[in-house]
Amino acid sequence: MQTRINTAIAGLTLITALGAAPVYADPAAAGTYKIDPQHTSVHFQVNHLGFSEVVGRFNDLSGKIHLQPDGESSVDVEIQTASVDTNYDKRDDHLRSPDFFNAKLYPVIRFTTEKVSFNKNGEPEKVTGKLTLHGKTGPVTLSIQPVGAGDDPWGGYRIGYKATGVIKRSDYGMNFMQGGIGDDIAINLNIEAIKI
Amino acid sequence: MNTTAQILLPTLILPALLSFSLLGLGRRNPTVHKSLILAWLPSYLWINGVPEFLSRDATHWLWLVALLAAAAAFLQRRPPRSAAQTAVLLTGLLTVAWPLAHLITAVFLLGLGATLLIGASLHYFSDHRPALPITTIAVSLAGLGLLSSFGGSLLVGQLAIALAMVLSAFSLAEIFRLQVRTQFPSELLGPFCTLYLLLLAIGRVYADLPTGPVALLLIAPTAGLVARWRYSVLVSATLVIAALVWSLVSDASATYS
Repeated sequence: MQTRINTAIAGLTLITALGAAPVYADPAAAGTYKIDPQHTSVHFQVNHLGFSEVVGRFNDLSGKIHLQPDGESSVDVEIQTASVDTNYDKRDDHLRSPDFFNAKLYPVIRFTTEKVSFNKNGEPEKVTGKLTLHGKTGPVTLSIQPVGAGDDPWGGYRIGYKATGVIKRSDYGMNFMQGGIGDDIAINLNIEAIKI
Repeated sequence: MNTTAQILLPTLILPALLSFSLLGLGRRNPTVHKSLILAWLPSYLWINGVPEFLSRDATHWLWLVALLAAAAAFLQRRPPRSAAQTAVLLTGLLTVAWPLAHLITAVFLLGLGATLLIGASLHYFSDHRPALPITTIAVSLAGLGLLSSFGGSLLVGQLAIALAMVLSAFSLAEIFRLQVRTQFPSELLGPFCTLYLLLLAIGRVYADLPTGPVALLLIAPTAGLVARWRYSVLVSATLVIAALVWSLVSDASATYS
């Protein structure tokens, strides 16, 4: 009797775990995905006076991913500039000002794909595209690391990636306080998207 | 160059040196004083960077506004001169407003209208009342510089303080010359009034400087229109201090760096 109970508990545990957890490392299924803003973050990191690295994020973004390993794939993301958040309101106000992002004049940061490269497993590994920031458009390359893909507990299909890259703010005409505030901006994205 | 030098050199030292140089040149040829605004342009280029042509960013047009206003200062007859200065101000205000045309509200238009009205009054009366002191403009510029540096845009703040430094050199000379009962030609004030009002508008519109303190700074230079020299500087300084205190009281975290 005890053996049957233990077997039943083990079976239920396994079923629950399989149902709740995505199947990691599976190549993402081809299709179109909507970025889930609640589980996606865009972080940036910039040097402050040579002393430290300040980290910030944007809280309001949207976008779509179209995956077609043997065809044309794309990633399009729109970020609301005014949603910049460095955990300090005064600094966020300053970042929105004409000194940096000039958020009133340039309310949206936009990334559009030119090319998505896939590895031999059919997973995206590099995205090149155009970043429009501060009224200027320039080329950007992001390295992609797949995190997971699979069915979610609510009947949908999700994919997740980490993306990293570096841009120079001077390339986008954001030149104020060069020297004091670093020119190189490291970008880290954690993207989760739901198949539509 | 360290950050402190990067801020102080273009904001304080360079404009003061160039202003005193033009002051010296102007002793032999007073016409030089009308181009005093040129002492600010190197600081502008240093702080703002080389401006982009056809930019939507209003700060990239300030050099042209400065040159046009300086050109207007050379007009000999008074009514065309004040009208030309007002036209330059109107053009500058349009460069501030047009990129945000889709956001324009009645309050926005009211603010622009008030700025234009005060600018037109300053230009008109500075032509008809030579006693309008440059110190009131310098004090207002310094106030805008501090307000914007602490509470909005360091760029706008630095540009305003650099302008204040250019005027301060002449203001010292004015104080000295008043003791011997002579004054600077009032037409040199035109470019400074115009740039002051434009920087104030840019600070309010793009850096969200608080409305109340900005309103006080808007009327601060008009003290020169309604009061005698010594009192006008006092009134102007009082309005500027009130604006700064108001801003500090309403925003306890104004010590951001």
